Amino acid sequence: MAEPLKPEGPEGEGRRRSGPPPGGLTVPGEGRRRQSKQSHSGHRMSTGGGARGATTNTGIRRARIQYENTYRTEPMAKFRSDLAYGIIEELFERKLKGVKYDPKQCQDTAKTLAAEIRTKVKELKYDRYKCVVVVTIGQRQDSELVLASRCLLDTKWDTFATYNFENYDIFATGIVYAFFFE
Amino acid sequence: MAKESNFVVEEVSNIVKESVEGVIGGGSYQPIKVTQWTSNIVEQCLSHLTELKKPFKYIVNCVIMQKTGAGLHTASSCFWDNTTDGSCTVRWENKTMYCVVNVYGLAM
Repeated sequence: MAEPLKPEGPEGEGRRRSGPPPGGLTVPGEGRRRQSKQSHSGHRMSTGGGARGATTNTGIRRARIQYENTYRTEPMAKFRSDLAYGIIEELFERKLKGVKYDPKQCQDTAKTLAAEIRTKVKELKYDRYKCVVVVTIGQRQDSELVLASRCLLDTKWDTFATYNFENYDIFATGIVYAFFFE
Repeated sequence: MAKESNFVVEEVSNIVKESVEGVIGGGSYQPIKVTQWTSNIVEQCLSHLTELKKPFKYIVNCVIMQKTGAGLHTASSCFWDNTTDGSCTVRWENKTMYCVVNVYGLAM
């Protein structure tokens, strides 16, 4: 005589439950996955995988994971602008030391620098932060230049970092803006 | 709540052009006034952008450079959601100076 199929719950580790489990299949969204095992005598079940089409009885039935909203309005860790400053400084000093102004080369340098800074900022692994990196490289030739920037942001969690670099022929400015994604 | 929450480049570009024209429209490069000009352009852009009442955070960047034949390159790299966020760059010049304004909009 086959046992009746029981719906899976978060505690469904092969235990018998007298009623339907609370809350169905949803798991709080902190990234935990649960695998429930069920052993039935004489029952054959397909374990999802509709594309495969075959029915296999592995005895393990994977529950469909549904994450709840986190309702987290603040980041776990605030973005540290001093780390971003360090990244820009290191990359500029390494890549722009002794560089002479050349229109085509500086164009590519600016693009690659911006992409590299962005990659390194992403490696800091700040959760739910968007970032914008702006790199400006110019020639030093008796001209004046003023760069101004204003932002509409949430001062509690959003921040930016700026670094200025100069050598005898070029100047460069790197700005990283980090904004929390609510 | 059918209000558009995508970054509309045209709208923002018009706002920026108006602000730049308003501040440095007919003038020529003056070292004393430049700092004030950049601040004014940026602040005007920002206040008009907030009047759009969209759920966005903005970054406005403005560079004013004197025309002496020197070269300038700007590059930006962004880590965001392509479907809702965007940027807009406006280049303006007259006989004595260049003005480049970048606006980045990040959806909330």
